[in-house]
Amino acid sequence: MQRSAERSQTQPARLARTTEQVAHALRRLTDAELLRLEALARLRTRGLPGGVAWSDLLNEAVRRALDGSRPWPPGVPLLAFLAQIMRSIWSELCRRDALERRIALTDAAAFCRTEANEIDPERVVAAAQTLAELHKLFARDAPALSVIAGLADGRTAQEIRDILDLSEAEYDTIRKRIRRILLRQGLVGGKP
Amino acid sequence: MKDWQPVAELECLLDALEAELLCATDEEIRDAMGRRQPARIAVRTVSVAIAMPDMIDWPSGASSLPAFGQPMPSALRPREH
Repeated sequence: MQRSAERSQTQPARLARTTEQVAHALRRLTDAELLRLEALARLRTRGLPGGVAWSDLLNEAVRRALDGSRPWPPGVPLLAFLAQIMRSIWSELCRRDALERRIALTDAAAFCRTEANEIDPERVVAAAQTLAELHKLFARDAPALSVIAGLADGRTAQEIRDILDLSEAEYDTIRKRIRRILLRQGLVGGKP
Repeated sequence: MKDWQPVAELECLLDALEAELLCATDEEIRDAMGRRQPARIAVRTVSVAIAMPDMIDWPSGASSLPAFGQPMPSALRPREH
């Protein structure tokens, strides 16, 4: 009984400490880190169904970090942690959108027979459109576009370097250009 | 599986670009952004407003949560049902 009372006292304390740590770390973010966070949120909002704004995505990620529904693992930098949460929300929203469309389009019996992995044409089209938009960002930089294609194929840096016959230094220079384009172009437009 | 290809490609690419943004240096970010300040996010929840006061697009010219007893900005008031 006493042990259970101790547990109930320590549990909220642990949660409060986590919340406080997250809040403290958020307040200490520099302008450059806030810009990076904005860029991450804008990137993840691309192709999201229902016109979700990047600020909604970021707000939700911060809320989940603060209320402890996503605990901040030790050793993980705050921005990487928030990026992970935004990725999870992105996946959730994509899945939910696909599910809602299937429910709207099929009767209950047909829905029960539907395979979880059944192809959702609208999601495929939306993904193809988003891919095209991302490729367009790099259209004027052929080497960067080739690296982007390799990354989209899920290839490792080594594989991309081998295929494109790039030295490590050349590859790093292209990556730097990709980051610059992503930051300059990727932060323009989109829903606030 | 091939029909899912754009979805899988997009997931791979977003993950890779996200990793690039995470490893960009502060200098790269400042160079790319010039003097641009981070955009503000509209207030959605009190907890976010408290944790990120500088990032918040405060309603009606406020810059922080009101003092105790003062009216809450409408964006932060609980919705009435």
